[in-house]
Amino acid sequence: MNERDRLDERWLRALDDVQLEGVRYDLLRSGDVRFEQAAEHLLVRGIAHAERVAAQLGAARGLDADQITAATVDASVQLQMRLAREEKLPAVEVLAGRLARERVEAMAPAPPAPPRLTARPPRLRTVEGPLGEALADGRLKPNKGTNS
Amino acid sequence: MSDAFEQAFLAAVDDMNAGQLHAPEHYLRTVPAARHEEFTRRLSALRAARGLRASELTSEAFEAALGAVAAVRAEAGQAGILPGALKQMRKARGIRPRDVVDALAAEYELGPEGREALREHYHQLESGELVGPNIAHRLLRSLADFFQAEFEDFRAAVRPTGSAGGGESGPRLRPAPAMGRGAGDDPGSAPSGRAGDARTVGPDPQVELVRRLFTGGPDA
Repeated sequence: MNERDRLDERWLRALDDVQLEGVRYDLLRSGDVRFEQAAEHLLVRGIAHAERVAAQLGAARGLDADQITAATVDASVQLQMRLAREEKLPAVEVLAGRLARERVEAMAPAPPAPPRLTARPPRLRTVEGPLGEALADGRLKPNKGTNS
Repeated sequence: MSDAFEQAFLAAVDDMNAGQLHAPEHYLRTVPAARHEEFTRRLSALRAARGLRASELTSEAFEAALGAVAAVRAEAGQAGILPGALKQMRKARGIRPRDVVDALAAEYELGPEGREALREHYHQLESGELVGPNIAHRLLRSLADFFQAEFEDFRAAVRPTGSAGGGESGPRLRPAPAMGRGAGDDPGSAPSGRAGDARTVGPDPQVELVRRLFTGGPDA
């Protein structure tokens, strides 16, 4: 398919989801590879919806950001395959939402991060008074932990 | 500006005006590759002029999904979009190829040789080296079950796409030769034994089963 064979992008963008699905189905049924253009537009619209559903349901289920991204990607790829089917499909938002919900529900919330144990910070006191002054100006040397 | 460039840029401006600007990759698909850099530069300049930051445009999940479907599309060929789709779904779920092979080997009760043939053929499938319509539907059903997806999606996904659909200019891929001892290129021909081997050794039945699943046609 060369550029001359492409459908007018602005015309495709102006179609609503139902009209776009009609174009996709008609082209696919007649063996016209340009169905891929209509499918692409539907796919982008569907991905936006899948992302919203995955974010809302994923947050309610306690999924982290990586899991929500994975669910969105997974649902989007399945939607991409669905749009290759030679049959009349339901509204793309319905499909995308359903696939996203299925992927979110198949995931278990990531376990909470284990507590990070750190060494107790040293408790240091400043040396004040004449002793501190002697240490500061070098008249007195610290014994570096050794007993005097 | 060329038509494609101009249309894509106007589409981006329309989207920006509607507050729905997508990632640049969304528009670049219709822009000639030679002008991608110019398009991205102009879009960045427009964003800057409007005071938009990239982080405000789309979510990480949305961009990752766009990238994934673009990758699937870019790898499409004689096995349709299934090879890329399998890879992206595995990646999203943290599944290794050997997990898929293990599940299929268990379902078809394969021994070590059959499993090795399965591993090779599955690799060829994900690499786009197989012809989609030659893949047995029962294998597609098994894969769909494993990925908790619909068989009809997988059946539609293996349809060769675009120029790969039998055009004369595209690469002509043949069914993969059978794996295993003594298997020739033509499954109907007598197997070729090793040089000096007096006996004729037939292909391992399990290896032959695997070959039929991946290259034997929809009803194999």
